[in-house]
Amino acid sequence: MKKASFNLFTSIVLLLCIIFVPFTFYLFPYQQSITQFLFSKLIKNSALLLFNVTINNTSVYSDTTSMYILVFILLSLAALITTIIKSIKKANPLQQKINLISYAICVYYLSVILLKYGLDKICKTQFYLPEPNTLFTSVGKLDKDILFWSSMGTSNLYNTITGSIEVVAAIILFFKRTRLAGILLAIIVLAQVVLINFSFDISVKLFSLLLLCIAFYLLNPYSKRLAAIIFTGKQVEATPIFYINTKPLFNIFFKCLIAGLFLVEVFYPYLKNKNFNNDKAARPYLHGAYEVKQQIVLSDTLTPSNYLFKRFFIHRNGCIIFEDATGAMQDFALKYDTTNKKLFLEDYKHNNTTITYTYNNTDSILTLKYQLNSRPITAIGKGINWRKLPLLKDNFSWTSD
Amino acid sequence: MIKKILVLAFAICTIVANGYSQTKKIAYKSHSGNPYNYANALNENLFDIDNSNFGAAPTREVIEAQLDSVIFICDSVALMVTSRYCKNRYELSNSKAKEKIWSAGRDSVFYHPLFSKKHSLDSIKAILEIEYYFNNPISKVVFIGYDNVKDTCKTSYQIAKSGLPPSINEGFGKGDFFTKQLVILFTGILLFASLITGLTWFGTVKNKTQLSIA
Repeated sequence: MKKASFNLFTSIVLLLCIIFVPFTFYLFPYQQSITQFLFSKLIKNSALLLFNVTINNTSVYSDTTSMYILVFILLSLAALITTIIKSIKKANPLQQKINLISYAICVYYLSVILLKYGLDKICKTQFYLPEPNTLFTSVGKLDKDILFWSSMGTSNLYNTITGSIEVVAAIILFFKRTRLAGILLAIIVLAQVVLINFSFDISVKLFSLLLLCIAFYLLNPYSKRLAAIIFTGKQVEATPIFYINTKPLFNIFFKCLIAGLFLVEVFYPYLKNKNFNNDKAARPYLHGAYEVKQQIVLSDTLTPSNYLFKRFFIHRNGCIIFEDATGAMQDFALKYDTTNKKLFLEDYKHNNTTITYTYNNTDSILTLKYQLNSRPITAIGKGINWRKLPLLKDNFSWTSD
Repeated sequence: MIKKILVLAFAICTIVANGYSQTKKIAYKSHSGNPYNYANALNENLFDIDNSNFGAAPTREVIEAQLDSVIFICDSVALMVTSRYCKNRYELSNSKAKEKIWSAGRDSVFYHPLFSKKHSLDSIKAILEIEYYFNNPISKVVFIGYDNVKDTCKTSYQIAKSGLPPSINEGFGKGDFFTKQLVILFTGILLFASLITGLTWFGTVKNKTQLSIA
């Protein structure tokens, strides 16, 4: 009886988490809005009343306080629903139906998530090539998460293999005959992901734990047979695990439809952008690293030790970063005006600066001219071939000598 | 408004560009953001932080301007009609920052170096092609009043300050949820599912017939 209640509770919790934890799906990007609409006030009030925490932004993002509160709310909600269902007389059929539906949804959810992450790895959109400013930051100054992310981004082989394993896990999980192998492979993959997220302080801890829980939940019906085979060597008769009494032809149609939608969800963004290798995707204009060769304030040419910044970087996602002599970096949002040769910079307090630039393609000299406290400043930067840095070389050797 | 016209009239090449996945923290750290400003960036969805979440690839990648038409009014005034083009279709919560810089619609530009009719239509098109970063091909831009004949200022022409962009696309709008490609793909999936189901049904019927004959 207690086990049945726990199973029902788990089924409801996972179902609610799948519905309301807002993952970024391409074909259904409305989870964030739905969760925001339904839970934002509840999250804010619960945080204040139960945990004495004031939340300004109730949007649910990975590992934010809002997300932890949301999961807490979903757990409470699941407990309430379980109690209500249990109090109903003849609740068994309903209970079974919920368990079956939850199991089916968990299978498909885990499958599509693994497929998506797997392809993201293979196409190098998850662990991407480090940006020039990261490459020029001392290792000791980087946090563990960005260092791990950047290190992974330097190896194509690692990404291809780990991504392929996730894709294989997703595929074999999808089909009933190979599901057990898929679940086991998913558990191995996700356990490693959870370990990495906790060890390197990567802020996808809660979500990766949720995925691991789903994988264990899927393993649950097989657990007796598996334990018997592993520990006693005896074979235990299989019990029906996922059986919904529908017409087989409808099942086939439904499965094909789901498989097709999953493929569109995962592949379509890449097909549309015609880019299957993010490392080789076009970078924005002027993207790269620049070493300052000359700096003039008013009419005085500064010596290198007095430079206001020794390097500057143009980031792929519309940012410009200046590195001073001590190695400290300052970033600004960046917009271009290529006709008038102007760069519009905006800091975190929405202060704006306009820089006039000239760029010489032949020697990759980028000259910046702007006013600082009414003093005209000119900085001449020479482009650095950051793709030739040792970290980005695809070196491999069997021998060490 | 000046800023809006500036950016419209010149080159809008990076409204939002995000091609890779990461967590919000990693996205922030990837451009060497100071930890002191992280909470502010998260609350206000500053920079590119809105596009990252669970370490999976973002759904939206590039939003660019599409130049629909340029209407010549007089030597000093031209009207540019632009619309928004999304390579991926969704407009998520944070568009405040982008709206500040540019939003689609009609905009009057004054003494614009290119559109003040100092150039012929062909050279305007050539310069637009090379120096401007509008998403659509320049051949599809509608130029009204641009030829090589000198015109006088139509002072009676009403200059709209802003408004909805008139769509020059037929059928499915590029920014709509269902793009043509997606509809074709969905139809393909339905056909594929029906085909497999049909084949299975055919196989079952055939087996049953064989069994009954035997």
